[in-house]
Amino acid sequence: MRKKGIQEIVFKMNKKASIGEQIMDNVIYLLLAVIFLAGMYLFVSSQENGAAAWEEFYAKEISKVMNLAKPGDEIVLDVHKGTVIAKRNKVDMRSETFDFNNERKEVCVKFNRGKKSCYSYFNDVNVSSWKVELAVPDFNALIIKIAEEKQNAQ
Amino acid sequence: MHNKKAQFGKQIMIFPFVFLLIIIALGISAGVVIYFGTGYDFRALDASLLSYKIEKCVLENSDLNKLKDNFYETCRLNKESLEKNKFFFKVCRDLNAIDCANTEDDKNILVSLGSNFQPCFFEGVKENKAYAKCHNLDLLKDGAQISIITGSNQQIRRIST
Repeated sequence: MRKKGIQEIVFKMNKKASIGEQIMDNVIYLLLAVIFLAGMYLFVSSQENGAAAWEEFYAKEISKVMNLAKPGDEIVLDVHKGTVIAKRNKVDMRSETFDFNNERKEVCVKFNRGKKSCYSYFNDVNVSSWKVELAVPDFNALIIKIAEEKQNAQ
Repeated sequence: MHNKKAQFGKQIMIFPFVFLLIIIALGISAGVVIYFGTGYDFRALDASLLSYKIEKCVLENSDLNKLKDNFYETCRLNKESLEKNKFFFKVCRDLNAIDCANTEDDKNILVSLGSNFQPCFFEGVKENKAYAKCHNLDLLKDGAQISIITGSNQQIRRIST
């Protein structure tokens, strides 16, 4: 009688333990699935609208223009497609989409939140200012001013 | 003993699960890559742009010895950017491009950045994306032969903001 009672208690304890184990197993699987889904979501969302591909395209094309620029030039580029993608992804068209780093000789383009694409040029010129002008006259334009010779030397 | 075996069986089930995740991830990635393309390879154009700038500079400057001493300033090229972004080039006189790639003689080399120019002339690596893209040019300046080899292996940088 007493032995039977002990067996019952052990059986109940085992059952509890196995429920705990099962929950732990499921939690591990769920965690893995959540991490996987989050990773895939980030990957796919970064490719959304082809933002990364367009960033790469614009960064490289602008670097080409920068490589051929001369001091004092003013360059106007049609960036309409890029700004439309940036707007769709809630990136500020005027202040966030394009960025120039004179020290690194690099242009960065951002059409999506979270990441930007940068590409370097080797022409030794400095950008004195740049801005995105909307609807000039029927497309959005990036206007880049290359610094004059004296500013370059500074 | 019996329970332990069952536990091992349960634990080992993680592998098919992870395998399944990897297959799904590969499928999604392949779909995205096929849809959006495999990037925009700009290295060949970078190399020809650099070659064009050097050619223009060499032709515009009559004194090559003077140019040799002050190459980057005269040609308006940023040395740091070229070094950092895996550009390379070599300018030689009195040699064709192939001999220029192989020579180490300072008498012939006007200016040089980087090393290992030989792969630029390998036919087998032209379609291989792992190798830098090159541009080779032979020109005549005041009767002297000038050869220019340029190459680029610059990649786009994706930065978190």
